[in-house]
Amino acid sequence: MQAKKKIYIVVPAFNEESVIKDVLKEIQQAGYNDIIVVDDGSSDNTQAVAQQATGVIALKLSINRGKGAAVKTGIEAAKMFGADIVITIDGDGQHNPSDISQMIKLIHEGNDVVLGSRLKNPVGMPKYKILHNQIGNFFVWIIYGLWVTDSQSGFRAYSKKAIDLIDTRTDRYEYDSEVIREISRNKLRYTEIPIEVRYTQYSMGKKHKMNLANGAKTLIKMIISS
Amino acid sequence: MISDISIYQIILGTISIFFLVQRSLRFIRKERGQSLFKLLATIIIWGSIFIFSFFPNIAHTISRNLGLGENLNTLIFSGFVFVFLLIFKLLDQIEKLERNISEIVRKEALRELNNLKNS
Repeated sequence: MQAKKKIYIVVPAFNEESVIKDVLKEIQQAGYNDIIVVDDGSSDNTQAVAQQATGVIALKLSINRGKGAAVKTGIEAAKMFGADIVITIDGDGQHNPSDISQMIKLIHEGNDVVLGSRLKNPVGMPKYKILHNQIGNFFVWIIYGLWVTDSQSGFRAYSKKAIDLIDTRTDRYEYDSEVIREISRNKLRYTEIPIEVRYTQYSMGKKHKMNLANGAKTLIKMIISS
Repeated sequence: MISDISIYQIILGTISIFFLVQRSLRFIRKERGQSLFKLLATIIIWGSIFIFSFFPNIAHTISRNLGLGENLNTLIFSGFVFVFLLIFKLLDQIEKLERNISEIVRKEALRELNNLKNS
């Protein structure tokens, strides 16, 4: 009989005090209890609120280092607990945890990485975001040599092989693109699935979200780190 | 004619061939940090140096067509290129420092987790 695989959900969070409790509750209601929240140096009580949820491990980076650094820390923590599958999901509630089961199914079918793609299901996605995304995809393809439909998505699943092989160096939003390079470099088997994204006033209003200036910075960092 | 080739052309030509071959092999071997973008940049930069060192007339033609015929203009243009390369190098160094800071912060967070796990 095959042993049950250890599935860990990694949630990077920066100043998400007001929503993190609901995000964690939703993940738990979807049937996943091994959750690692990485508070990326928030100035609010994100870590304390996350810690109140049953069974949740809440880590805190002492200073803000960016989404990539938080996700990497979460994955390292999951490895310490012997994770077989790691899911990364944003801490602002824009992703729907009910998509996780499909991702896990695809990992069980032999994929190393499952990329959640907003552009495969762009319902409700603002047009400027679609354009930003397509530009990002184009540069990822030029610099890293792999075409994907959503190179900036933070909702992904990784097999044990993938988490052991993927070696990223960037800290901020360029992390998501760097993972694409690692998939190509390590010849990992990957697939993309459409995911539901909930664009709420809260998630759209966050200051640190990807915008044109951040996009330009990300591009420069991608070139430097390539 | 081979007798027309000066020492500086031989030196520049040898260095550019060395880098072109070395970087191409690193890309073919898929070594860490290699990408198509980096290979293309290498081919453009070192390929240009190779071509300009053996065919300096091409540089003169380009310089004349771009309006950089005057020596002072060429000097200022070279200065811009130098400053650009310097900024690129500085950004690279800053990036390395940022990575080191993240690594320290990560280790600190994971050490706390490890302590919790073992307690």
